[in-house]
Amino acid sequence: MKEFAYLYSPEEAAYRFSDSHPFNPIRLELTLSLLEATGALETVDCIVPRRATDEELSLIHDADYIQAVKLAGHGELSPMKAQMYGLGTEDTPLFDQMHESAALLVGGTIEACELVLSGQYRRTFHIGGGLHHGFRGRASGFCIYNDTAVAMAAMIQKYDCRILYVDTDAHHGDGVQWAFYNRADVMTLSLHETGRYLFPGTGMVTERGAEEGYGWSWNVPFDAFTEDASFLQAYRTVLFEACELFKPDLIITQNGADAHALDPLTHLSLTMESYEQIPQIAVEAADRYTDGRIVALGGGGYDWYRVVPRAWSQVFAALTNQSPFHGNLPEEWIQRWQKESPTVPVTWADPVPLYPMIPRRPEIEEKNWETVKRLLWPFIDDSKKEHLSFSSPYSND
Amino acid sequence: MLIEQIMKTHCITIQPTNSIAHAAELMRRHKIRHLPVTNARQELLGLIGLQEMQSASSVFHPETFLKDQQNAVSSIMQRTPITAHPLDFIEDAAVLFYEHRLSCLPIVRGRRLVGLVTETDLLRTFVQLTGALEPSSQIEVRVENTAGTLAKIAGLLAKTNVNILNVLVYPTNDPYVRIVAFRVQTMNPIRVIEKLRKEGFDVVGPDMSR
Repeated sequence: MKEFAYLYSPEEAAYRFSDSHPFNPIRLELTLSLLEATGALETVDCIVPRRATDEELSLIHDADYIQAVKLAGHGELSPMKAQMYGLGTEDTPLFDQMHESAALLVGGTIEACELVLSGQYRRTFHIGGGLHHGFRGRASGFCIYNDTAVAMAAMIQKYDCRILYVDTDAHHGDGVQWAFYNRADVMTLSLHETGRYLFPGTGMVTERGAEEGYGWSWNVPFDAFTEDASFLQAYRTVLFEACELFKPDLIITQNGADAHALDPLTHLSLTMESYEQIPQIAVEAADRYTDGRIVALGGGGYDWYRVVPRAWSQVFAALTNQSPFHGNLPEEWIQRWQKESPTVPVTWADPVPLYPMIPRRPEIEEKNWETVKRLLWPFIDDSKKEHLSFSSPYSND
Repeated sequence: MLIEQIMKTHCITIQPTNSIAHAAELMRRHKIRHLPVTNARQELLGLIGLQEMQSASSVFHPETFLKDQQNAVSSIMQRTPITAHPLDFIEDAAVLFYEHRLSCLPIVRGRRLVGLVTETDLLRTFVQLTGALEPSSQIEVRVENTAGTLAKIAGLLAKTNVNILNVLVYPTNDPYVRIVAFRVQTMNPIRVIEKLRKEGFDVVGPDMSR
């Protein structure tokens, strides 16, 4: 078995709404060029994804929806009908060949899972995947097809396995959650900003799953302006608890990079510190619970230059058994992209301080820890409850 | 919104001559807290809730418990429960719940029981009204309480091609100021927010000091 492969094809850049749309494939190019400049790509395998078949897509999506996306991508869907499917909206405008390019992203994620479960590779990374808002019959939040949900359904069909899905995007992973809400073979764990203001508004602790899936849907909604320490403490605690309880065969991580303080769409206050640690901790969990099997995906992230390339490169570092990249960014990468944007960073870490002090910090930390406790309470024994209460950032003050 | 749009129409009911033990069994089996008492013509005769069930026997006389449980439901039921009509507004029903501290409201047409609304149904309806169950972002605007403001904001939103799922207006401590909360069907509300701010609107968002 080989250790690691990443999946990428320049054709994935065809999933592109418009120049001004926040979800832009330039993010893939920025990341790949950064990894190339560090020399990290030289010794690893790159696999070119295939397109998902209609049969695979229909494991999750309705046939009429797939048909509508096909027509839309060839300009043959009426605007009225398009609206019904969430297409042709501000979030998911129509573009040429939208079915073909969306199906390629799905194929990449299926392939990434297949390579791991068939035993060819221990870890894979599909940067173009992680479109967690796609619904059964409706496009939502920049997502047409739900690559992750389709891939998980396909893998369960073929390998009869248990999959833990871990989503650290700032937005709630609603599409994936609802797709498996009443199933016991997938556990979804989403950590995100609360829905008070932020899209999609769901992802409360009380969304715990239904029927056979009851207890296998976990949500940690963070208060706005949550910082690294609070986020990481919650993430590590719930991730290991989830692994312990669910005993997955495979971990899939969605690595949206939009919880960073610089992201324009959200209100969380993470820095690169979190993006160095999140994938390292995920790999640690995989090594302990799934024999190392882990598939990492991309996701959101709307500060294209300053945040996304560095964050996703750190995922790459963790998956290839390296400690996080540090120091200065490669000079050639900085020079190439400085022509495009004046905001290109020069170091792997963020400048300190990155943002003004947050006066509510103690209150936010307390609130987040209460959320973690409320989530875990039904699942843990008394000694753990005591331990969690003791490790509250609030009571330690 | 009318009661008939939110009421449960398949109600578990009990007859006045049935035993209290039977009532307890029905509540346990169906995981419910109230039983309307009806006759064979489905006419409402009374209501029993957990409170009435508790009054069925005395804790000071545990030895009579089994015997007490065989008494008829009619001996403990509320005989004149507060009811509502299916065409009542849910706002009115909400006031009834609030003023009389109800937890269950039988819905009666003629004298027949046609449905039941519990506090849980009301809460769910409220959550639905806030639009929070569909994927959307929330934009809140602090406005002066004058005519035409809402129309102005809606007009601006219409120009951005963003679909509004829901609008709520709620009061603040200042009687002349209200918060208008929109749930909009987009993950990227930035353009809308910028547009509103450019027109001088006070858009409220998360605040790091409050």
